Amino acid sequence: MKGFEIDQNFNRNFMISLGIHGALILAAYLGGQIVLNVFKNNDVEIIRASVRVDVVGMPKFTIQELRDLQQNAAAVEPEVVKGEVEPEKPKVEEAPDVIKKGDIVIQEKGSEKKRSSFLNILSDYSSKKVDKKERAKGKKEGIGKKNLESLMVEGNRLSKGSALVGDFTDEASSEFASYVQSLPELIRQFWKLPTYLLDKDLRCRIKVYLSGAGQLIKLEVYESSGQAEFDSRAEKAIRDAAPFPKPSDAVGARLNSSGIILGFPL
Amino acid sequence: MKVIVVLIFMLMNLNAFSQDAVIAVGNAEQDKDKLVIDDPEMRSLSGDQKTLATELTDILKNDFVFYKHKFNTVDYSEKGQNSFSSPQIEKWKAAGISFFISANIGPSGKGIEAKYKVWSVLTNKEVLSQSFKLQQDSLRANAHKVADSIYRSITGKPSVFNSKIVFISSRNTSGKDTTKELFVMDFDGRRVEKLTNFKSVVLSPSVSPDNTRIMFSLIATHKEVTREKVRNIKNIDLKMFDMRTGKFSTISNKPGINSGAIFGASGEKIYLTLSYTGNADIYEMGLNGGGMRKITSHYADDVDPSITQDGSLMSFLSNRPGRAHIYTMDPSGSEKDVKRISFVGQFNATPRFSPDGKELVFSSWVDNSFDLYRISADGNNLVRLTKDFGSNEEPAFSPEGEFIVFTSKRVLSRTKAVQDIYIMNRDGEVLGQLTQNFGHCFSPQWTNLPK
Repeated sequence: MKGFEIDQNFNRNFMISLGIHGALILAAYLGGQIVLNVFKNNDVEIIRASVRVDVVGMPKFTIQELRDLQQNAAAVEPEVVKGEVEPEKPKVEEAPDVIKKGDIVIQEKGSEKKRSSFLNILSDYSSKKVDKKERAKGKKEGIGKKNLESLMVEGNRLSKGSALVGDFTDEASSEFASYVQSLPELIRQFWKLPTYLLDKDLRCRIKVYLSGAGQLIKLEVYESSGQAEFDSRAEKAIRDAAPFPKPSDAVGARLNSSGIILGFPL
Repeated sequence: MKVIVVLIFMLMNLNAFSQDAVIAVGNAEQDKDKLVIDDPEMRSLSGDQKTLATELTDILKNDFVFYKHKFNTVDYSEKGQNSFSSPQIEKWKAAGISFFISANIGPSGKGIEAKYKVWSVLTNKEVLSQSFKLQQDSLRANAHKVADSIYRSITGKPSVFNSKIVFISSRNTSGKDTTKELFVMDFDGRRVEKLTNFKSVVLSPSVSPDNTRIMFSLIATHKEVTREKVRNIKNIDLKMFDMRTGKFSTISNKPGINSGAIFGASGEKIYLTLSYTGNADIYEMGLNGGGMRKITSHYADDVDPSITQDGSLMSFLSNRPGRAHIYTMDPSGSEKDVKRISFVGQFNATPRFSPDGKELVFSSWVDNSFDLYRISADGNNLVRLTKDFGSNEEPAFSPEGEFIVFTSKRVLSRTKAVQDIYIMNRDGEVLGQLTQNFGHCFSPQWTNLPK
């Protein structure tokens, strides 16, 4: 009798305890969701090309020169992607290299001589506008879609070769990361704001879905800046930058299904 | 029950999967606004008056060229149409113009009157409508005023157009007899005026926050009477010039250096370098030289203070590490929160705060000449501004923070060199030479924005 009573009590208590535990887990989960949503912005991981700058001496290049170099690098990039560099190497690599150069005190002078003469810089400034136009033109004419795709295939072939040699450890995830990190560089060329929006310290985030071929499928404002014009200018920058280089199949699938979020500026 | 538990776990799993990653695109580049300053509509003006009207327009156009990093000033005209009496907003919009400035100049009473309108084309609004009497003698001052109100109506912020630059020049003197006097000019290098006539050497000027006083150091000669004889001793004294009364006074004449003085945030206190103890340190003082307080206290030399507009942070130069480097500190105490912010450079000089106190511009000795650099007040973001542009020293931020004025020296031969004042924007784009054939020019300092 006694044993049975205990058993009954145990059963009842067990059910109660299970119910309470279930309720607790549910509460914790819902609470967590709310907290997660509230702190969504703090929680997200921000991926951006990191540039390590070790200052060992006074910078050699001026801001103006660095800008010119970066613009030149950006303009040259599509061509580089086409043929020689394997897709795993993010094009971003180029920029850190250039910036680092400027921070080294002792450097061979010969190669820099031409750039650094004052007359050259002046003439650079005066021809700046023309350069920009030419670059824009070059870009449009230079990489036709078909052309790009066929060249990207060649690039992929090259990449297989290098994978055999050593870069075997970081595959899928780093491939995704390096592809994704290459996008800001492409978009930034079109990411422009007039003064009255630039001063306001606004931020928006846009979710982007890409096709396997790098075409833009869909855009959605994931987090608005509160200023419609700011959001639409960010969207425009992505539209202008598309189509993007063709990703590998694995990367493409991920871009297609879950999309990526682009932060303007973060 | 089990189902619920399983469901919960499934939900949690899903959540773990959908971790969002944001790819930062970075800061936007500036898209310059297209701005048109149209030729004025002229109503029955004489030849001279027409010249005056044209001159006015030229000054306005020239002023806005200084802001070419913000505005793209373009020409736009349409035959037979007048932009003042019949604005063509839709056509301007189609031409991609953001702001359109139109004017109407005609006789009014005895003189002539200029009316100005600023159209914000994108919002289809008239953001400014103003008029003023046009006179030959006040033309430039008035033109800069109009340019400033146009700039304010567009950006909501004050411009540099009304400001002036105080500087020192060795004009008309040379060799052993070189003297340096104080001058003032408009921000664009025009309307130069001489302020002092000591026939001596004036150093390190500083303008009070309300623009009524200028403080400077002067190599003065004092008579020292000892038992045997009377000697002439040269000393660097601190003087004050009151622009309202035109009178000079001596603030401090302690033995040694009394120099590098700057006004504190309120204008009631000054900060300067004194060396009467044999060691240069930075002191705080009242305007009459009283209430002296030692701010830096170190056996190394501490010189050349610069202070933020709110007075909370002071920068100075010190050879504590063995070479001249930039430090910041809280000037309300002694040796309070001293922080070294420059760690590279063979010799850094003249750090000067930006008006918002977030940045410093300074010169540094590189490859046998001085060049200008900018650094955040916390010591990060060191960038280079000038290169292959002579030897550049004594930078100073404009009162609204968009420009930097500095001296640049060019060696012409073994015995000849020129040193003039130049203006550039905060990113190192040189915009123009402000002095020419005006002796060697030194220590340009901007006046402050009227409060």
